[in-house]
Amino acid sequence: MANDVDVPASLTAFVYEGGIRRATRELFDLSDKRVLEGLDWREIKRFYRAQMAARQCVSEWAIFATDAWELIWGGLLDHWIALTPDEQIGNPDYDASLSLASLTEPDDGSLWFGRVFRRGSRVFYAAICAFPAAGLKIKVSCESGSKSIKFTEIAEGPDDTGNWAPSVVVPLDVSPTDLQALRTVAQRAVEIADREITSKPHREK
Amino acid sequence: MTSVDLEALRWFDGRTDPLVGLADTWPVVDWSTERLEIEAAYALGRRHHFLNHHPGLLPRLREWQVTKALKALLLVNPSRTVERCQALVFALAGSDAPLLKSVVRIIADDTTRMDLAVHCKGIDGSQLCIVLEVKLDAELSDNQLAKYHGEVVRHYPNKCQRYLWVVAPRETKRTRTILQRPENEEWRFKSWRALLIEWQRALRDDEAETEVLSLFSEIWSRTGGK
Repeated sequence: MANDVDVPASLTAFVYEGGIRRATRELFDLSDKRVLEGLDWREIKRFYRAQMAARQCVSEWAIFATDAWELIWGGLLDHWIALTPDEQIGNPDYDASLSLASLTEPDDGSLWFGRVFRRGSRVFYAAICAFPAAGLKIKVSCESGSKSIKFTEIAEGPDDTGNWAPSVVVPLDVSPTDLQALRTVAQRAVEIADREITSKPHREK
Repeated sequence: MTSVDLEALRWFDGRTDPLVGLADTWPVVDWSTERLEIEAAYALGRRHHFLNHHPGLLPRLREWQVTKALKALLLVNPSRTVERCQALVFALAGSDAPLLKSVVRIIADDTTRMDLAVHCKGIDGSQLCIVLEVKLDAELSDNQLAKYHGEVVRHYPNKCQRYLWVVAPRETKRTRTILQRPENEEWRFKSWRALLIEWQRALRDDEAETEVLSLFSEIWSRTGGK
């Protein structure tokens, strides 16, 4: 089907197996030398192999995310201006950990990948998010200065990061998995934002 | 066997050259094999493991809560007390661990202010004392280790009867300095991370040992584990 995507086995393991997820997050954090404690020299090689596996896991999420994002959000925001990776990562207003999939991930172990779009003074954040033990969802926000569009038609309320996550979830323990349900709700999100902007136009920069 | 994706590396090296295309191949590392390395590093290959348990349900634990909980864990199932203490000792001392026959008593945070003291008998009948000085956030104070050592020596006069450990999230510079003092030569350091993984590894993998999962998971998260 057009919106099917293959799910890497490493991503399935990360999302649904708590042990693999927590161990991978530890191993991936190179700044934390604690992961080396307690090893003797015979175990160092195993540590490096484990670290390679952890980095593979996170990298495979990143690769999967770029494909999945395109299938879910691709083309829906062509009437907005897309920020380049440099503009997005380099901007202190945008949390890089929610933008570049392979860098890191939030405290709850969820994996994010999101892109930022602009239209005048408005900023639209279109993301996908893999939730532990659940699967793939979209996350969305649209702001203009201090004003945020409310996506109550498709989601209950914003989370701690100010993003809205509709409850539609696609499993990541089957491969391939069909992303159509997420594309449908992503389309609704864009329609809501466009409608809001059209009904309440304000001075464009 | 893994192999490096040379095409991807060449692309990265030559990306300023618009004629160099991005190969659509990616790492050929076999995840089903490589994940075994993660499992081995963390002893995940068992039915029950604290890292598979839900983390972080409790509010921020204090040191005395951790030591009381550890004491409770060691005593809650009398049929498993010796086994759990033995697993703890294996996790701390590895191949130098004494073999235990019985546990006489376990004290946590009593009048001596020692965090956790396991008084037990070895299989050769010797009286043994395993002491843990537990740290979550605070550093060691200057003389506490020497003071506790003095207490233990009174009842366990031979060095081979005493097993003294500082357990903390990491070995800070202050900890290392204090441990290097001559009066503290019997004390060893173990990180929480290493202790919990090895302790889990040494425990039996059955339903009775699911009692440890919550506490280990909470301590892991509390001491900086993900």
